[in-house]
Amino acid sequence: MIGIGAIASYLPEKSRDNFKLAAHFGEDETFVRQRLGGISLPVLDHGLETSDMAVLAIERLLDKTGLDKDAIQCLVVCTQNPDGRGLPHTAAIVQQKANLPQHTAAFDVSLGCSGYVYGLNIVKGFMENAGLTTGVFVTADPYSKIVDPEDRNTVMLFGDAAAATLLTVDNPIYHLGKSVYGTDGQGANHLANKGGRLHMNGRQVFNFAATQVPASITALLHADGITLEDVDQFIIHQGSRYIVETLSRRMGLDESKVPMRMEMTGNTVSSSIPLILQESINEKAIHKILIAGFGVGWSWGAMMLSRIKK
Amino acid sequence: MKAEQSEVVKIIHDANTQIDFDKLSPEIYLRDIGADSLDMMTILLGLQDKYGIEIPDEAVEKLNSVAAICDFINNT
Repeated sequence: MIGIGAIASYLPEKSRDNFKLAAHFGEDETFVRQRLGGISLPVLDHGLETSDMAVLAIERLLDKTGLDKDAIQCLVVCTQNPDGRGLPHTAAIVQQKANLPQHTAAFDVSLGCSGYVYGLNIVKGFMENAGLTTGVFVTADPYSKIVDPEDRNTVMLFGDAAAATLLTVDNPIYHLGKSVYGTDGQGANHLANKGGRLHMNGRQVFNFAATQVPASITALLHADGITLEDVDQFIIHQGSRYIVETLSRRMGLDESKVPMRMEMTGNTVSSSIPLILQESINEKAIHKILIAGFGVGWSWGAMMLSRIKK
Repeated sequence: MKAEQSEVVKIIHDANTQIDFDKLSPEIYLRDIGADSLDMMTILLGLQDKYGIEIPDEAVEKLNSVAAICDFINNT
């Protein structure tokens, strides 16, 4: 059975001070702490590419697990800010830069903040059908490439990060359970790269998330035949502190079950869920985790993860 | 559906905002008694949920008080 075996991540050393950014836009530190959530926003160093972030995350995964590069049969990179213009696909560049073997199947997935939930099932399904046993799923979406430094709607929200998740049949820790997905292309214009710059209608993003995400979580719980109380942890995409708190309140979630870890990262798009999950993996009391990603598209997905009893 | 001021006040209250309710009156600007842009998003979403309407982005700036909100909903 293919499941999650390990997760590692990479955060660039360089970062933006969100207090300074907030002051520039006439906001105070309370607004940063209590509304946005990200105090320090990592930024990919000038000259480095999306593929470099991905390689650094993979190297940390290899260090963490002792996995032999030759064992990697599948590499999938989730990004909407690929190297160059996406041709060739970033996964091929990563394969070369990371010195992965030529028998590694490598391809990109174009999704934003829902990408981790989609990607887990994409990689698992591909591996199952191709008879593979070891795959790596990378999320790396550096929005610093497209954020306008003078756009207060976006520049204080996003940080750069990459995460690498090992999917394996060899003693996985988490089983991928039931999942739900959805798309509403009517939201396409509200969060988009227009002429190389990110444009976001914050109110429309908020309305979408506040209505669609609770509905998808409810649908998932129903499909799995469980209740909110049966879930040990809800890892909600860390869009902003305000949106995570709003979703928690609308769902009536126990705050202690909803991790909020964006102070040193901001919104890292498809990497926000694995950045938290990599810590949850070490907490053996956490058996059932519900992950929920949502964003650009509109696109959303939620999945149950269950700790595999050893 | 007709909007009563008391209903709108309840929606604002349920939105869990930073508003100082001791200062709330029908005409006062919600921004002047503590609401920020995020609070306003939550209030507007609560209004949409309650009254089954779609508040266009262009109307948002005008919906700055309980009275203005009631006028908008009752004339939509």
